[in-house]
Parts: sequence; structure tokens; C-alpha cells
Amino acid sequence: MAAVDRISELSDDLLLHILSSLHTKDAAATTVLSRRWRPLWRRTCVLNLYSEPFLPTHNAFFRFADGALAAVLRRGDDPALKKLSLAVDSAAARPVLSNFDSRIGAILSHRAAAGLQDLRVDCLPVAGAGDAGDTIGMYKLRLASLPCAATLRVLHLACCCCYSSPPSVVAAFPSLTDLAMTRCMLSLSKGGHLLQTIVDAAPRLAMLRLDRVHLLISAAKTKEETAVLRLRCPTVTTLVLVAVTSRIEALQLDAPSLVSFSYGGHPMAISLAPPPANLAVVDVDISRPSFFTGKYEPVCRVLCSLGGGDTTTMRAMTLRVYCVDDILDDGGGGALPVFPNLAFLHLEAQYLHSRYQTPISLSAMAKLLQSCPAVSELRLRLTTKDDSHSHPVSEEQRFNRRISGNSIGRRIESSSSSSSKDEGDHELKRQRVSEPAIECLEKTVRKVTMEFTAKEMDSFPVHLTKFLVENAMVLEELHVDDTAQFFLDQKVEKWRADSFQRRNLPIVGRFEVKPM
Amino acid sequence: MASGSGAAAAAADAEEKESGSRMITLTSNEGKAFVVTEASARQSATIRSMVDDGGCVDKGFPLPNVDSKTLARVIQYSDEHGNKEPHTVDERAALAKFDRDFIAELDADKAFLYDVTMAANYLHIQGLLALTTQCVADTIKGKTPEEIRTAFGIEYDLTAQDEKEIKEEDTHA
Repeated sequence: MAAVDRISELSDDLLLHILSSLHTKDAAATTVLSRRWRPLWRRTCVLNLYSEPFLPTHNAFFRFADGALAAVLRRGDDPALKKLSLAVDSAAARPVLSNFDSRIGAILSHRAAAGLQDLRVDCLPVAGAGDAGDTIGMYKLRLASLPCAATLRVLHLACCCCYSSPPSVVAAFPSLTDLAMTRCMLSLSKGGHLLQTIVDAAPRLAMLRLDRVHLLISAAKTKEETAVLRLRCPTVTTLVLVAVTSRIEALQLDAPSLVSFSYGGHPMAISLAPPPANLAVVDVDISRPSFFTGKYEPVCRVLCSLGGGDTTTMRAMTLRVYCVDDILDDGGGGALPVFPNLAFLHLEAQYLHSRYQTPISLSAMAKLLQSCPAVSELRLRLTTKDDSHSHPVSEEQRFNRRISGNSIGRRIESSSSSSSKDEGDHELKRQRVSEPAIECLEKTVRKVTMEFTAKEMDSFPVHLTKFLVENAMVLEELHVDDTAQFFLDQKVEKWRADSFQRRNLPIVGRFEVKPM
Repeated sequence: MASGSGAAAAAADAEEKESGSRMITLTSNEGKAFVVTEASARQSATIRSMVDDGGCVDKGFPLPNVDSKTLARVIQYSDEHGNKEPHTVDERAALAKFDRDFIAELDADKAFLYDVTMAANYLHIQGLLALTTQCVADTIKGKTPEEIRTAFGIEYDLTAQDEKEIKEEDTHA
């Protein structure tokens, strides 16, 4: 244990900073430590009220919370409370406390909390419970009556059910810049939806994150019309929509200020119109299609819709698809868009381990690389697909993929599985592979990271690694992590040397194989 | 959840392009010079504002409040966070692991932890400050006052008057 008391030498500001990250119960206990610590907690602007240490008696928690708020009020208004974090295990509290909602409401509308800048409410800290669509235990937050709305900059809600009556009225949030909702429920009524009403009430909103939020659509909707979720957020620069559930089949986003956009969920048409002029970072995870929303949009069309017609601004893209073959045209889906300025590409996908599937997967990769002519860093994570039946792709689509994918993929494959062929044959094949040219491999790909699971050498990831090593002309760094331990890192040096020799090219530049 | 820092990453990316790969010299109070990339130095809001105000990038920045040992450790943090752009979930996870290992090492040497905390505060490196103050907070968490005093070597010096006040407060709450 420390012999010399160095912590008390820290400045008041630093000690207050430390207190502000503590549960209020622990922070308040520091007033009896010593004379140095005694006055500190009373100056804090932060309360972190968590029910967990008080369980199983919820009444004790609420008594403590009321006491802490009263203490803030007693010391006068200097400084007022700026941040309040509330985490209540409401699933456990609700059955034993009939007035649960009103007791939470009393905390939020307490006079001491009237000038809050940062409010976080989590009504179900217990992990695992309360999936989207399940309101049990959620705190019913009435947005029109949040007294601190006028001063709030940050509002994070978890496991809350937001409602407003009438639906078009919420408090104004003139200073709100950061709004996050996790496992929340929002009503979506005929004349517009509550989410839009909230966004409209926050003219400075820059960051909007919705994770597993359930949007309730009003019951009156005819079966024929496509359910479209429209959201207009003119000031938002960072938008995250992950597993937003609703009976919607398309998203229409009017977000012209967007810089970073993340979407995770069912592959649906996402239109960004007008196209955001500064959209640089895109993260799309459509690897887990839900069967809840019937229509399944092909990858190329999801990507086409993203740019809103303009893909020139995108610099970094993370793409997670169910199967690497999904990148190919399903027939009638249109081609992949070109991302002329994309510098970073991360792809995560499964692949089917089959002799017949490998050329198709390879051609899917070739198509993707052709769409990214300026990419300089490539990260690929490929895992074996176990069950081909769980994929919502029709036989017809599969056939179309085979048609569109086979030719180029076969050429790549035959050129890369070369060991027993004679040299003349080699040369011929190399030439065939080089068209259509993959521009990024000729000029820009400098760093490649491959992570994969493969059962044998004759598999898609190994063929792909070999193809990249042989054809990425300016490659400087290669990281390979094959869990199957084929020790590819020893082989790639030879592949590269052989490939350059075949082309009668001197090996230029530095090329390193690095362990992960 | 996926890429909250995406905008920041893009902005940092743009900055990097503008400033190229300039190197910046930081000098400890013992006169030892540390040469770091501008991206690493920009982790510090203090240095960032000096650079952006057209400060003396060529002459370097003397840091009279930071000793060499502390500065070396601070640079270890800002190199990791400044020179890498976490684009993906994995990279962010790798960075989080770096943070965990970094703070675990500091936690073992409390006196040094306070030095790094003070340096992070002086240099306005928000991420590092949050990391170190959280570490101290974690030590306080769930302990009785007596246990906290022992953990930090705090001397009990409350007077009888203080104790009387504390009793009154207790009855209030």
C-alpha cells in the first residue's frame, strides 16, 4: 500500500474529475476521508445514481437519490448540476414498486436537475434482458415534460419507451448535439414519427445513434404500399442506425451534412438524397438479413443507393455481407457503383468452401476491387460458411451468379493454382487474367491484411491471397493470419518473386510480410 | 455503436493530408528532446492549439511541467492513438486493449500514475486523462473510507468539529 499520500497533491479539478466518474454513493463517502477531501464532493456537478449497489431494496436507492439531489439543492445554485447518469434495474424494480415511473420522473424533474447538460438514463442495466420490441421494464419517458430539455447537450437513453401526447409535441432541445438511443421504443404515428419530431426540435444535433431501436408504426397501413421510413436530419454529421426494427422495407434519409454513416441491419434500399457533400466514412453491415422484413435488396443496389448518386466523397468503407458471392450481380440488380476516391476498404464475409464455388467467390472479389480503383489499404476477413441453406438467395439468383461470375473467377483460379503447369501455359493465363485490368492492383494497393479460416490450401482465401500477392504491383505490406496455419507467410515471398520473374520485372520497392 | 468516432477519424485523416508527416520536438523539464509525429502531438489539445496558431513548430515545444520519464509514457499513449486511425471494430478493439494494458501497468505504480494524470491534464489529452482518472476512481469504488485511506496513504486529520458536522449530515440524508 502507498506509504506517502500523493493523491491528495492532485489539484481540486483533477480530484473532482475523479469523483465525477464514481457512483455518487462512493463519491459522497470521500467527504469523511480527510480535511483535504472534505469540501470536494459538495462542489461536484455530477451525480451518478445506480440502483445496483442498493439491490434488492429499491426504496433505499430512491431514498438515496432524493437525498443526493436535495443535498445539491441545499448548497445553493453554485455550481448547479450539469450531468446526471441514472441506471436502474427496472425489470426488478417494477414488480415491487407500483409507482416506478413516477419515482424516476421525480428524479428527472427535480429542481436540482433543471439545468442539466448531460443526461443518461439506462433503465435496464442487467445484460441480456429486454430485446427490441419488448417494453417490459422500460421507463416510459414523456418527452414533452423533460425540464432540462432547454440546456441539454447530450442525451443518452437506454431501455426507455419514449412517447408524447399529443405526438407532435415534444420539448425544444435548442442545445442538443448528441442523441443516442439503445434498445428504446419510439412511437411512429400517421402524421410523422416521434423520432422526426425530436430531431426537428434539436436544431444543433450533430450525432444521432440508434441501436436496436424499435419504431412503432401506426396500425393503419395498407398492405400494398412499401413501408418507407423517412428521416430528415439536416445538421447531423454522424449517423448510426443499427438493427432499427420496424416493418419498414426502405430508408429515405435527407441528411446533407453527413460525414460518417453506419448502417447495420436488413439489406434494404437506403436512399441518401440529396447526396451528402462530405460523406467520407461508410460502414455497412448487411450480413444478418432478418426474415421479418421480406424484401431482400442485393448488395450492389444497397451500395448504389448509399451514395445518393455521388460516391466520389467516400474515403473509407467497411462492408459486411453475408456471403462474398453476394457482391455479384444477382441478375437485374445493376452493377456495383465505382468508388473513385476510396482509400480504405474493409470486407467481412463468409465463403462457401467448395471446388465449384471458389471461382465465383474470386470473381466477386475482382468485381469489388474493380469498383475501388484508388484503394490503398485492403482488409479482408473471410470465414467458412457452414450452412448454405440459411441464405435467402433463390436458385435463379444462384444461377445468375454462376453465369456472371464464372469466367473471370476461373481465370484467376487457374492462374493461381499453378504448381504443375508448364511455363508457357502460365504466361498465356497470366495475360488473360490481366484483363479486365484491376486498376487498384496496378497502382494503389499498398497494404493488405488477410484474416481467414480455411480447411485446405485449395480454398478461396488461399487463391485470393496468391492472386493479390502476384498482381498487386505496388504492394508494400502483407499481413496474413490463417488460423489453419498453412504458414502462408513463407510461401508468399516465393509467389511474389516468381510472379515478377514471369513478367520479366525487377522486384521494385519494399515488400514485407508481417505477422498479425 | 459501430463508428461513433467515424467523423473524428475522417477529420483527422483530412488534417493529416494537410500537414503531411511533420515531426515535432517536445522537450521535458530535464531538457531531453522527444521527436514525435504531428499526428501524435495533436492528441494534446494544448500543443494542437499552439501548432494551429502558427506556433514555433521548428523550434519545438518545451514542457516545463513534465519530466522525461512521464513524457516518454505520455508519448507512448499519444503515438498509439495519434498515428493510427481505427476504421473498424477490430482496430478499435485493439486500441481498447492497448489502453487496458497501458493502464494496468500504471496502476501498479500509483505515484507514477499521478504524474501521468497531471501531465495529461496539463497537456489536455482527454482520452489519457479519462483513462487515468477512471483508474483512480476504480480504486475508490466500493471501499469503506478506512480502506480508501489505506489504499492511498491518506492521513486522518478531521477535527472533532468536522466529525460533529458529519454526524449532522448523516441524519439529514
